[in-house]
Amino acid sequence: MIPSQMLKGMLEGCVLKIISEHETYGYEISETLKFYGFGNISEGTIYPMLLRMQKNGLISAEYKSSPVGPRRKYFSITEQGMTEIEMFYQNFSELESAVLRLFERKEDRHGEKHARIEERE
Amino acid sequence: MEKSTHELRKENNRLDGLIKEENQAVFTDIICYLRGSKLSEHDVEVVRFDLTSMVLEAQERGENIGSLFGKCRDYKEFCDEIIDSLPKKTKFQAACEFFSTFFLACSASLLIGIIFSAGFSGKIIKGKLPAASIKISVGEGIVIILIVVIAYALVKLVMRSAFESETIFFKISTIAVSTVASAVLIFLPLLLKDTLLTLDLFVGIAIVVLMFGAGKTLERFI
Repeated sequence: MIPSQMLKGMLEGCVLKIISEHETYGYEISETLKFYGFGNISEGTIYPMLLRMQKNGLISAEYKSSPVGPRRKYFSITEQGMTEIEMFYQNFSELESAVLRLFERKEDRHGEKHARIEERE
Repeated sequence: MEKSTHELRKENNRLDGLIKEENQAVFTDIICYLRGSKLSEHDVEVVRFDLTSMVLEAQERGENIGSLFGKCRDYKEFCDEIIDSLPKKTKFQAACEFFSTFFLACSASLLIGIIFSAGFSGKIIKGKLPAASIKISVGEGIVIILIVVIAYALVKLVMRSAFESETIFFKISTIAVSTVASAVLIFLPLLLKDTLLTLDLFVGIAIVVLMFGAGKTLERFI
C-alpha cells in the first residue's frame, strides 16, 4: 500500500487525469484509482479535493439524475485543467528521473568502491 | 438554473428522512459543524446535498457512512478541508445572518413577552379582554434581550463543539450555567418591576410582525 504522505502530492494530478478521460463522479473516481493500484482512496477523501479544483477552475460540475438516489454531481475537465495535467505530468517525469538517477547512482558508486578495493588487493 | 438556498434546504430536509439511523449521528455532527463555520448558508446546503447523495448511494451499495471516509475517520479534519476549499461568507452575508437571527429572535421574545404579560394573559385568565396597552418592566426588557443573546451563544457553542466529546467538566459547566441563567431569567422580572416602556397592544404586535418580516427578508441574502 502506497503511504498517504507519498500520495498526497500526486493525487490531485491523477484525479484530474481520470476526469479528463470522461465525465465522471466521486465514487467512480475512487473505484478507478483503486483499479490502477492507488489503494483504497475513499470518496470522502476525494470530495474536498474536487471542491477545491472546482473553485480553482480546473474542473466543472453538473448535477444529473442518478439511477440510485438523488441527483449526482458529475465532473468534467476544463481547459485550465488540461494545462494543469500537462504541468503535473512534466513535474512528475522530472521527479521520477531524479529519483531513478539517485538510486542507480548509489549502485554505481557502490560498484566503483568495490573495484578500487580489488585493485589495491 | 441554480437552486435557491431555501429550495435546497427544503430538498435536503426531505432527503434527510432517507438516511438510516446508524448514519444519522455522524452526518448530523458534520452538518452541524459546517453550519457553525464561515461558509455561507448556500454553500452549506450545497455540501449537505452532495454529502446526502454520497451517503444514500453508499446505503444502496450496502455500506455505511464510515466507508465514505476510509480507515482514518477524522470527521473534523474532513470538514476543515471542505471549509478551506470553499469561499468564506462575505461581510454582507455575515451581517445579514446576524441581523436576521437577531430580528427573528427578538420578534419571538417580544411576542412571548406580550402574551405572558399581566396586561394580556393576566386579563384573559380572569375572563376579561386584554388591556389596550402592555407594560414591559425593566426586568422583562432585560430578559427579552438576554434570551436572544444566550440562545445565539448556545447555538454557536453547540455547532463549534460538534466533534468534541462531552467531558464531566463540560457537563457540570453546562448544568451550572443553565441553572444560573434560569434563575436570572425567572427572578429578574420579579426584582426589577419598574416600567421600562408602555406599548399599545397593536403597536407591540405590529413591531413583532415588522421584526419577523425584516428577519425573513434578510434571510434571502444569506
